Amino acid sequence: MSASLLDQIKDIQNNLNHLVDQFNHLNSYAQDVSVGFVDERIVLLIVFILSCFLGYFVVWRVKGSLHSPLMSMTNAISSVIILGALPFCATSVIGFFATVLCAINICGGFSMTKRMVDLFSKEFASKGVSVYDK
Amino acid sequence: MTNNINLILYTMAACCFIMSLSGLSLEKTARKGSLYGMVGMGAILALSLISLPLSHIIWIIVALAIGGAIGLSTAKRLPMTMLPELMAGFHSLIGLAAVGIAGLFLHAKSSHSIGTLLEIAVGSSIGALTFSGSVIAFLKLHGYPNLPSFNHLRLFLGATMISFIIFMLYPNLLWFCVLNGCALALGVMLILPVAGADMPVVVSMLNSYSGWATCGIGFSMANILLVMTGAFVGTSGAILSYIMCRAMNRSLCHVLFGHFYTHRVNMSSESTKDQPSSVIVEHHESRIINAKEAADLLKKSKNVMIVPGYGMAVSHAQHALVDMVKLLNHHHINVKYAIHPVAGRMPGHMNVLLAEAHVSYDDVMELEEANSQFPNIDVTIVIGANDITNPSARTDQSSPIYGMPILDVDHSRHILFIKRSMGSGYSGIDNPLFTNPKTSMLLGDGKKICEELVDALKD
Repeated sequence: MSASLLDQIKDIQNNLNHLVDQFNHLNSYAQDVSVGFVDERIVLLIVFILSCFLGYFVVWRVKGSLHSPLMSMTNAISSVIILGALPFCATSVIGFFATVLCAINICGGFSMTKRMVDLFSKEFASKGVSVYDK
Repeated sequence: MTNNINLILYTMAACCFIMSLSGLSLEKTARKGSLYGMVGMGAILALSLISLPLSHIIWIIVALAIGGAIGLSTAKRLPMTMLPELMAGFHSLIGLAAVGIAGLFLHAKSSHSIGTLLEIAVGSSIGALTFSGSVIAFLKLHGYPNLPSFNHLRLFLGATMISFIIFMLYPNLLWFCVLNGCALALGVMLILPVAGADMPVVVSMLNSYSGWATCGIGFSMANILLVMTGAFVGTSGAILSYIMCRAMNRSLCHVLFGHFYTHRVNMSSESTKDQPSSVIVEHHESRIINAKEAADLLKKSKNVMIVPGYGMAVSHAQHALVDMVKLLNHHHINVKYAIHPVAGRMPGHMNVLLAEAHVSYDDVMELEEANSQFPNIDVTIVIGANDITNPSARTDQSSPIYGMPILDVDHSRHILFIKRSMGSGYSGIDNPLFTNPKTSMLLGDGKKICEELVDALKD
């Protein structure tokens, strides 16, 4: 009785192990298939579309009075295009030139944004000297 | 594995950029927003530097130092009135960089897949278009209005498309150059015929283009950060140009391709022909006062609204104007500012100019808010503005600006116009307000008149 039960348990165990093996095999196969089938470009396209929506909703919330700093800021952050120029910077003149152009944009754009944004602070507004006080 | 880490760091940088844009939604958080942007950009630069060999890093640091010095010195010195020119210049740099990077990327490998070629072509041609368009916009903003006008837009559009297709078939550097040459010419043709008054729309459009160029390069390099950032910038520029067009009650197509509607052009040229005679008639009817009388009028009032236009910035009157406002405040007169969306040369330009003159943003109202206030206003001072107050935009269906949202200054009790001369505004349209019995005119240079008003108010 007990011997046959043990046999049965062993049998079930073997079956289970076999099933796990099969499952693992299937899983790795599925991973192979998914890696092979999802094109990198599709992922980029999805990211692009979602980013458009995100940008749309974020930018509509920006106050009208801050539209100039907004444009300056977007100009500065669009200079991340520098990532494309960096690998070529040391190897070609055009790459070096493109890096310089982007660097102008990064530094100029951010410092202009900061200059404008600082104008909108309470401290700056209260700094104005009244003629009457002179 | 490094690729995965890169992706995560890129996404974090993109989050920084989102935080910086959303920080700009309120004046209180704007400073924090600009900080987020800088942190994101700095982190990305540092990250990409450490993954490169040392000999490269030296060159990159040299390039960054040169560019950084030029950028910082330009941004620090430039007066705020020249902000639109600066923006156009910066957009042109992005466009040029995009063309260069696309060319290098094409050259780096001997063969590309058709998808990559398409992305390179789109990215670089938008970049080229942004570059030449921005240069033209810069020249126009900087005061070269008499640029030669060509009207070969269709020709160059066709040429660009044909060279695009040929480039896809024969992807070599020669056709790449031809494609970009055509795109450059197309950019010139697009921007050259646009009227000077529509420049706010053009600057925003170029902002949008520079974003899409970034996107195109991002797709060809399969770089997720470039794609995300390009999309933010592109949508932002598109929204800004839509807002500007709405404020002028014109469609984007009409602003960009308005010169194709010859019928319209004829109409507006007729109205400018009629104009000198009507101005002479008005000259006798409108009431012209001096600074002393204006000061007396202001002293008797309780609530004053100031409507500034670009003319104020041209005559550098903002500081004298703010001095005057301080004096009025001392007399316990409540003063607010009303700003029309197209008051400056680019979106939000007038707000920056006022903020530079130490005006608190709490005192500055936008269109709807200001219009609800006008019935309670005793005196409205219109300085250097004209079309944005013209009531014929509400009533006169034959007027070229009919339907444009305006500031209802005629709802206030008195109107004080500070103008250089009796001439009409940018668009050459008569303003019936000049002959309105409520209106008093102060003719002369804006800055001088404000100084005279300050002296008169001191007495």
